[in-house]
Parts: sequence; structure tokens; C-alpha cells
Amino acid sequence: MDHSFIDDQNAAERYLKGQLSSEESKRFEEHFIDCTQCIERLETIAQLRDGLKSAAVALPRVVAINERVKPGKPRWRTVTAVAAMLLLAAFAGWFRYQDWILSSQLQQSQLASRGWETRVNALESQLRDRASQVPTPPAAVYSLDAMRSSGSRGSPVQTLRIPSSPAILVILINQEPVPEITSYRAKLQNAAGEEVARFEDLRHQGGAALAVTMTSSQLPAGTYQLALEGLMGAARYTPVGRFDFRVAVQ
Amino acid sequence: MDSNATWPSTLVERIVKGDRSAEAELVERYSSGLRILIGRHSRDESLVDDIHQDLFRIAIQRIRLGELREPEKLNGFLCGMARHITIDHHRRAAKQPVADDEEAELLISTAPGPEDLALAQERMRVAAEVLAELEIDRQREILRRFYIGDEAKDSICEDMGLSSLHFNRVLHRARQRFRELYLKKIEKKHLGGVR
Repeated sequence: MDHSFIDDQNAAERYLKGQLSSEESKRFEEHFIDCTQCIERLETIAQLRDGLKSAAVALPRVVAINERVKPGKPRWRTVTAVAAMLLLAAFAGWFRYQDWILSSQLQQSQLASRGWETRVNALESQLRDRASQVPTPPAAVYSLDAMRSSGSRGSPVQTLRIPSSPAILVILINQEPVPEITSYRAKLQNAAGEEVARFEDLRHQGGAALAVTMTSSQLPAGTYQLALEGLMGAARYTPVGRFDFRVAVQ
Repeated sequence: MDSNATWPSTLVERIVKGDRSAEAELVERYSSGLRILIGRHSRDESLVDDIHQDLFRIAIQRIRLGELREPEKLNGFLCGMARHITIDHHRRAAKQPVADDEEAELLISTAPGPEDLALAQERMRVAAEVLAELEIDRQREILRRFYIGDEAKDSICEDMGLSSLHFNRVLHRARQRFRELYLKKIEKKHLGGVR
């Protein structure tokens, strides 16, 4: 038995799963018992299989594949994503409106007499400032799922890949609405335990996710934890979920 | 002359002549591979150790006595012996009744220790990282169906419209990346620097 057969037929994986015939098993065993490459591969496969099976039990959301959308029935995530895009469009529209106001004022000033020169300069300066603040579209939308691990923070498994250029980030926190909870607040901490951002009065907007917006400069590469609390009754906040994630800058 | 073809014969010849270093060479060369073979039939680490010890003790004895008449078939000789000894051990274990206190001791001795649990946790985390790094759901589905669901490659490829090459490539990358990350974590643990 040679390595091209072993590679092509996935002999190592099939051996460990007991899917080789007895003749093939025998031949493979006689090969691998003194083959460093095959021994390493068998050890890696056994460990990977072990790890994946454990992860499937402990972290099902990491392993599960997104279900297909039933025709004619919009998914709550799609609805929430659309809502987030509309929110984004509103932000962009607001910036553009500000630009239009300043541009119009500038035009009027230029048509007037020389006495408006100082005002023209000031308006030009404001336009330049505004242009540098407008994030480059498109903005990015991300989805966060709650961790199910107990105990202290373990290694995060969700990775948000954010653009290196300035952008608005919309983060959808997947949290099913709870009837007793009227609103939510969230605290975002970095790996050092420092508070990076705080969001108050978060509410579901027709879907099963809460949306928060941030700028890409607020999330440098690293690991983060978002702690979500729900407001029950008058003024009592109760912990609802913990969302661990890692940020990678593209 | 192809040294690989003559190698087992040379080693066997040295063992027959009483060369102790040749015996040590035999153990070193075949130990890891035979442990995997034995381990396929038993998850009990102490039983694997026992079978492993018996195997080399008996194999070296027989080789010294000249019972391996075709030295170039050393691999087949060792594999056959490993299978017989493993079956024999399981037969003996099945026949012997175990007293209550012995059973309790057996349960305690075969239960995973703290080091094993820590390694299992590390494997789980690394496997989850490998999955999270995959950008395409289809790749995740391939790993899930093949390694967790234990589905056959042909059925997965047919169902997902994949070529054998593409399938193998996904597995190869996942294995490589897992090994890379896992070894880094284990190394960090042993050096005492856990992030």
C-alpha cells in the first residue's frame, strides 16, 4: 500500500472509523506501523475527530450549519438584517443631508460679495471635517451567538472579520425576545477587562436580534466579551447572556 | 542495493545474534505504530500498555529463537502478533469474574485523569477554532458529516456535488491546521504560558 492510495482513498480516516475491508486494514496496518508520516496523520485525525465530537456536544452552534430558508417564510435573521441595513441607510442619509446643507450654504456664500470670504473659508473647513468622518460604505453586519460554556471565559470561538478601512459595524446579538423583559443593556469588555462600549435601552425591532452599532476603530483586533442584561419590572437588571468573540482586522 | 528492502532482514539478523541495541531499535521504531493498532481495539490505556509490553516481549523472544523465517515480513509478523495478543487479552478479561472492590478499582483506574480531561478540553477548543476559521459553510458541513456523522466520503461527495480532490483538500487543510494549533497549545501548556 503506497501513499497515493492512502491519500486518494482516505485510508487513514476510514481505518479509524472501521470502514476499511479486513484485507485493506491488514495492508494498511503493515504499512503504517513503521511509517512516521502515517502515524502522525492517524494521531491528528483521532484528535481532530475527538475534538469535533466534543465541540458538537458542548458548542452546537459552532458546529451546526445554517438551516435552509423555507420558501415564502422570511427568517427572523433576514428581517433583522434588513432592519439593520435600513438603520444604516438612515445614518448614511443623515450624513449626506448634512453635506448637502453645507454645500448649499457654500454655494450661496460664493455668489455673494467679498465680505463673505471668511464665512466661505469656515464652511469649507467644516465640509472637509465632515468628509473625513463619513465612513466608507458598505458597512458590515455581524451576528453574535451566546456562549454555552460555564465558568470563567474560555477561548472565544466566533470571529468577526472587520475591514481595515473606517466603517460602521452593525452587530446583531441573537437573543430571542423574553416577554418579561422590556429592554436590554449591554457592556462590551476587552481581554484586559476594560469597558470598550456600553449600550442602553436595546429593544427588539420585529426580529429576534438586538442591534448595536459601532465604528471599526472601536474594535481593534483582540478578544472581547459582551455581557447582556435584561430589564425586568421597574429597575431590576438580570444577566441574560454572554457573547465571547474575537476580532480580526482584514 | 535498496537499504529499505534489506533493513528488516538486517535488524532481525542482529536480534538473532543477541544484539541488545537491535532489540531497542525494534521497540523504538515500531512502538508508536503498534500502540495505535492495539488502541483501536481498546480505550483502556493500562490495557494498551500491558498488551504493548507483552507484544514486544514475545516478539523479541520469538525472533531470537529464529521463528521469523522470512525477516522481510517483519511488519506482517508484528501486526499479526498484535492482533492475536489483543484478542487473547480481551478473551481472558471476559472470562474472569471481577469482584466488587476490583470493579471499583478498575473504574477508578480507567477513568480519565485531570491531565486527560485538560487535553480533551484543549482538543475541543482547537477543533472549534478550526471550524470557526472556515469561511464557507460547505467546508464545515464536510467535516461535520465525515468526522462527527461518520458518513462515507462517496455519499457526501455525491450529495454535495464535490469532487474527490476537493473533498480531500478540505480534510487535509483541516488536519494540518488542527495539528498546528494543537501542538502550539500543548507546547504553551508545558512551558507554563497559557494565554
